[in-house]
Amino acid sequence: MKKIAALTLCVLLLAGLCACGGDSASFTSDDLSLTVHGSVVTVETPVEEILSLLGQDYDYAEAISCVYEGMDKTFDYADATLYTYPDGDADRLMELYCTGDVQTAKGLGLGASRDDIVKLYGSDCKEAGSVLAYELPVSSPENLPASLYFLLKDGTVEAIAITAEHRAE
Amino acid sequence: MRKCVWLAPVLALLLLLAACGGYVPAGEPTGNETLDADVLSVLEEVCETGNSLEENVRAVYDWVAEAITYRASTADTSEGFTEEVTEELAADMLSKRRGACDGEAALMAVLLRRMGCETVIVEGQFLRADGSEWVDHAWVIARIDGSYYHLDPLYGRYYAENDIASYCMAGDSFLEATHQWDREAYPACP
Repeated sequence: MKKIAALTLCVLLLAGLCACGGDSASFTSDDLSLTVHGSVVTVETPVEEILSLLGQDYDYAEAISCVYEGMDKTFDYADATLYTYPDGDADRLMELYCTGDVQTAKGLGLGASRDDIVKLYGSDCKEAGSVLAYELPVSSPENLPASLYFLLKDGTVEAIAITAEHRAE
Repeated sequence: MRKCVWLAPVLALLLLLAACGGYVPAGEPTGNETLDADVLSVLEEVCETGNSLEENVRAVYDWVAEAITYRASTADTSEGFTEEVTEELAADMLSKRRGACDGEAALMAVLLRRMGCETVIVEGQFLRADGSEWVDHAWVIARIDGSYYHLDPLYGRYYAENDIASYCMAGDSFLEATHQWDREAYPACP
């Protein structure tokens, strides 16, 4: 009888532990890449590398940045826009914003629901306007966080973007 | 006399209801239903019925400075800030919460106009913190309680980290240290 009671207690304890650790959905630095038209693009990559992957069919614009030292440069494809920041001689990817053939590192694409997102990335997100965003902790309080964000329209994903941690000059 | 006795509590009740009600902006909506709903939602969140217009304007400025993350602009403002461009930019900012100075100026203009403040978007330049160059920039001038003021939440946030409020309701003499604009084209801010 004692054995049965001990066994029952162990089973209950294990079940309790499993329930406590059940939420494996989370957002990590591994999620700071997107697969665009079959190519994996990661934040902070030199933009020339990304352009060689995505092709030359883009509109280019540049202007002196209101916030950063140097130029704001944008590379606008039919369904993806690259925003860069200057880093020495290179321009690195600050943000990739996609409205077409795109998948997150966890396999989520356009048309997914808010529930789909939360199942994969958890409920520790920020919602403002039409944006649902997951952010990593910043390395300095002045910085804006690296993030993965979803633009929702009528409850489904209309655009997906990743951003690098950055700081205004 | 009996009428007066009844009238007083009714008036008191009406005043109480008005005080308890949500913020009702004094300005006109744009006519764009989605934008108007988003604008009203922000104003109801940020403004207080019992506050002065200046207090509510400052609250809206703080909200814009906090809520919007800088991202390079891809908008075409070569024809200036027409009503259509301004409303498109403002709607985009409210939806995506990202944009550059042109979007922040457009958003401020739409919010302040809905609050009943005459507002113009200024196309000028600001001086980098190290004094190295003038950079094309946009902000707003609004008429608040009869006087005109500059409001530049983007500059306040990124260039005056410990003094963001200085760029809310600033006069010409304060702003000219860091900004330049066509004085003939915009109202003077004494």
